[in-house]
Amino acid sequence: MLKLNKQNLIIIIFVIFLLVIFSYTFFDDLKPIQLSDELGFYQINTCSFSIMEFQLNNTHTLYQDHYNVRPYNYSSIECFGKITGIDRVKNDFFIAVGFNPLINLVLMTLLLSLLINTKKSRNNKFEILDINFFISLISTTFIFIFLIFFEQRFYGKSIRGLDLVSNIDLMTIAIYLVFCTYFLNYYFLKNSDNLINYFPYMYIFMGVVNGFNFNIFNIIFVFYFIYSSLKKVKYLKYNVVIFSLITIWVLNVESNDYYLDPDKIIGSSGTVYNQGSTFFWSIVFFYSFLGVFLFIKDNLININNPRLIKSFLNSGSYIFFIGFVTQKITILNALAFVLLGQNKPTTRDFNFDISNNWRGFSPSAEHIGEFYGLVLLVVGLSYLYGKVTLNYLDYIKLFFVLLGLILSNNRTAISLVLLVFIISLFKRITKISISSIFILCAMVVFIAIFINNQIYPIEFTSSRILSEANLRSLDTESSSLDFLNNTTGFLNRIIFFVVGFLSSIAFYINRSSLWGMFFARYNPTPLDFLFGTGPYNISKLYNEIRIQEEASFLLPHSSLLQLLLYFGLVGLLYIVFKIYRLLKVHIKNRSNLINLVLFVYFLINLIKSDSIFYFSTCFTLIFFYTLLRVENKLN
Amino acid sequence: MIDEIIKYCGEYPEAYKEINVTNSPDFVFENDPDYSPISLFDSEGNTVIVNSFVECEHYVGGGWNYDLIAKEFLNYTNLSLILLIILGIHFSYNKLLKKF
Repeated sequence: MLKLNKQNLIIIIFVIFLLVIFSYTFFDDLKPIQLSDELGFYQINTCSFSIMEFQLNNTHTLYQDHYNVRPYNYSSIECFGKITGIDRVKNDFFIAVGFNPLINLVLMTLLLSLLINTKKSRNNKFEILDINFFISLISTTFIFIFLIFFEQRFYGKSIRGLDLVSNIDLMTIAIYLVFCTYFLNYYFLKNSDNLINYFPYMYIFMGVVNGFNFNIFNIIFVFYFIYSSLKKVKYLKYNVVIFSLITIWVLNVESNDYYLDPDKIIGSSGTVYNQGSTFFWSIVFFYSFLGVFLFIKDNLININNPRLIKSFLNSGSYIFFIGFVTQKITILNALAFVLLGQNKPTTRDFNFDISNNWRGFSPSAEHIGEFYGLVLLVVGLSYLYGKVTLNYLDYIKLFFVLLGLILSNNRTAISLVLLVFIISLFKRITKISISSIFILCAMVVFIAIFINNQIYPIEFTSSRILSEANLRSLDTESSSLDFLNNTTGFLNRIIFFVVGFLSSIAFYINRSSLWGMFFARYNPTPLDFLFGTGPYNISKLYNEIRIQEEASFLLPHSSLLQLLLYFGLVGLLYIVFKIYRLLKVHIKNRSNLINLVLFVYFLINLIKSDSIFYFSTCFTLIFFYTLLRVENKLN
Repeated sequence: MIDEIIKYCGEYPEAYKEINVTNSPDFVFENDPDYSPISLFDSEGNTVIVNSFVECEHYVGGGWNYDLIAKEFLNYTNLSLILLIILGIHFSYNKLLKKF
């Protein structure tokens, strides 16, 4: 039973606070009418009814499929939580509810601070508010205010009523940022020793601040890096590398202001390609990355394995449950989108047809499939190796995670999970070596493909990316495609081998078209190719070369291609080398096999997916990377 | 005017073709389901909700380009002052606790 301690009381107060926000028009004279085809009443009386008052008078709008509650981000503060308009398109009704980016930011801050503060900590809260805290607070606020300032095309629409070129209005936004940075980081630092065991919940609290183009966790980890650097000056050395790279990227920007509507990658992509945006996005990326890295490193000692494993299991099953509930209940669909910081609202097409690639609560089926697979591996392997015990409730949770994985139809994740469990079980039952079992599995897969007549000639598969790229090109050919098409001599043979190999893999994992589209667009200068255009920067890619594309916004679907775009060939090779060396040393040391398997599982998935765009995935990847790195050092 | 339209209606959609609404008196604006409805205000505080970029462009061009936010009590400035007061109380409380 829920104990009414201080933390629970605060959460109850927050829920009551939310109820008040979304229902406080109950007591005025004007009452909502029954919703019908005649929408004039609601179009005249905008901002007069809170969403709860409206839905309690129209209960069918809570759950019927053809009613959609849409957060409307551009409303004034007075309209927050109220109906700003209702429209009908064919049989579907769209109920717009007023939200406001700055209020969203404050509400998310309060919610996250409360959630963070529910766990007991050994940290001394009196030591937090020192001079380093305030320097970090001001620095973080400056970084984010400039990040907003340099994306005026995006914010000019979302933060209505404030002029981003007015100093007074920027000061107003800065006050909101100071408030949020202060509270988030005060409670984060106060409880930091315990939080690492709960990081899988990031897959639920995704953290995109609705109406802003950044993630609330960016605020926390940028702050954390600055704060750590002030406490331990040796961390400041990272700035030399960071600012050297940023200088190259910024000087290489041509001022053509390519603009990108971020869609589902909101919070992890700059919207405009200019010098200011490139500069501040790079700082946010590197400081967040280093903040996460230092946070994990500082707190590895606090990892409690059973608690962490339970967090994975709970998070996986709750995501399924929340996805199921929010696809049905319209108001929860909108509230989860805003308060939990989803990149996209929960999809409302739940059924048991696996070909639907059900993404549920997550922005993409790939992303959530990878996570469900990870949960199964974490819990399954820990159970097999006796690191955790499971009760009946845990088995039910595991069932929902498995169901989620199947419905997401992420075939790579499913295959890898099956492979790992087959190898683990064989290893336990028989004395056969891991490599023999692996070869056996590979042969079974090959025979299955062969029997189904799915083996294609190498001449065909090895040319798929180039064929697709040429097919997608319109009047202008990208520099990368031009290079691939027209190179001769020795270089041609190397490219033929590398691209041919990549093409064949792409063909069998259904990535030919997407990777072909990438090369049709990718138009780097020699400097871009070597050093990239900076992290979180895809505006140039999507604007420079027009290609024949699908109606929907299709991403490159490969983290390797993203790394090539962000950091160039030099950066990509450096990262690949670092990971290769890490794995090599880890295998040589025969350290913790479970962590190695989980890291490799994640890496393989990321080669063919875009999940690296999401903060939760980045955190998980850095977590396993740091874990292996520290294990290597200990050995 | 284009800046005003972008400010209130958002970026121009790709391959946008301007429609001269005044030439056809029976013109009916079609809703665009991909376009988030936007409330526009005129100088007297009247409001209209537009459901497509074409409709928004037409209204903004016709003088529905006023912000009412400054007139409301719960505006950005007042709320930012409240937030500063809360922050000040929290800080003082935690610092005072340390001293006493």
